[in-house]
Amino acid sequence: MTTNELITILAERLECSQVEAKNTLEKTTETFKEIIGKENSFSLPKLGTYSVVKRERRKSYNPSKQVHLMLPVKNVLHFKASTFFKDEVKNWRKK
Amino acid sequence: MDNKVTLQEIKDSIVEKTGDSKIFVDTFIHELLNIIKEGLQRDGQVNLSGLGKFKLKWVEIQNARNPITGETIEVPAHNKIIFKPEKKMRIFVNRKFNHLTSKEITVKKVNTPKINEETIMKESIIYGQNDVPPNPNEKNDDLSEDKKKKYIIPIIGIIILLLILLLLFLFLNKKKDKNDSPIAPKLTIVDSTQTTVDSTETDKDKDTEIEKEEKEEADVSDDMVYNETSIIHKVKAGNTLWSLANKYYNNAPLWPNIYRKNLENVIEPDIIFPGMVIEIPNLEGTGHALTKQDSFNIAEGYYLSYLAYKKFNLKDAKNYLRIAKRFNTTVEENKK
Repeated sequence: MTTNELITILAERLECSQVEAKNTLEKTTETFKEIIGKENSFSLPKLGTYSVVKRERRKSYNPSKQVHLMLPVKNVLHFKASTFFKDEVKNWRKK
Repeated sequence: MDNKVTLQEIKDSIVEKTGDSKIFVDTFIHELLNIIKEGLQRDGQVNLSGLGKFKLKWVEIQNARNPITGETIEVPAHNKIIFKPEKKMRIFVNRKFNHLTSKEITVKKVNTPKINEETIMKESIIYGQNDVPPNPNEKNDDLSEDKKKKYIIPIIGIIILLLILLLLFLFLNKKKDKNDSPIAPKLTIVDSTQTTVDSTETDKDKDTEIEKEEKEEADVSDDMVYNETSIIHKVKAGNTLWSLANKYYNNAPLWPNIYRKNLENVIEPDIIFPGMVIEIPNLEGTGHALTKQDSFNIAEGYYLSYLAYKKFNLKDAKNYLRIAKRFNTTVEENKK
């Protein structure tokens, strides 16, 4: 499902124009981004929590070039699904 | 994160930005989350521009282990949710460390075996060719000879240098000890430590040793005097009872036999001071073939060391008692 499909469905259900739906969606993602910048974590009920995790620097090896590398420190956005969401998803059949 | 952001706060901030009514935003977010789930169910994938991509992954049956109880549990096949953030999002989250880049490191361990393998391969190929076809031997020989020449010249140079150094050392030693012949008596001493020598030989050794002690105390590694029953050893830095037992008996765990004889000097068996004079009793047998009397003595030594350690409240003191018992039981077994 792409974002455009998502917006059309949203507009149908909320009984508003697609432009409005698109604007609000953009604003919500912006707020999510701001919160991540400030607080490092936030949770959406029944979906899961987003958090920023720090990965320490580590050694690695590039087998094609046969070079040893030292990878630097990195911050990563981590999503953990809530148990409710997980249980719901579990038994959906494979497609 | 003590200050958790509630959903209400998120909604409020959205209301501020868009200017919509609260109810609209409320229903909007509710529907958004619902649609994400529905989209996952329908396509197994949802793209949300500005945030990232939700994906479903099918995991087959697998065996897991409970690390506490050690039981193996069968985890049934199930769907797993994966979220991959957008590139913009990744860069934003990592904004602190974006300027850092990966660096190359040199690791020595990996390089050495490669070279060895290559050389081995080359050598094996050359030998293989030499064995099978007789005619092309000449070319290969030329190649190998060239290689040999390359190797031989530096090797010969090194050998000559070593020889010169050896000669120099010998000359210097001769100049130092013109009166004594230095190498021969040293060798006899080494022999005497390994095998208990007759009394006549020991007398000779004594004389030479005394002379040496007077002349070069610093150069001789260990100062010692031989009796019929025991050896007297001057402790040097780095010596322990353990190492002395290893040296004189060729069996380090027999050290309590030395400790038993030196109760007055050695207070704690772990500690000896350089300059101490220690009496090392000879064994009736050898280090690896003890007689009854020897094992009895060693058991006694272990018992004494147990007492000493007990004084200092060491936890491992009991172990020495156990070892002492082991040496005693061997005596009993021998009697039977």
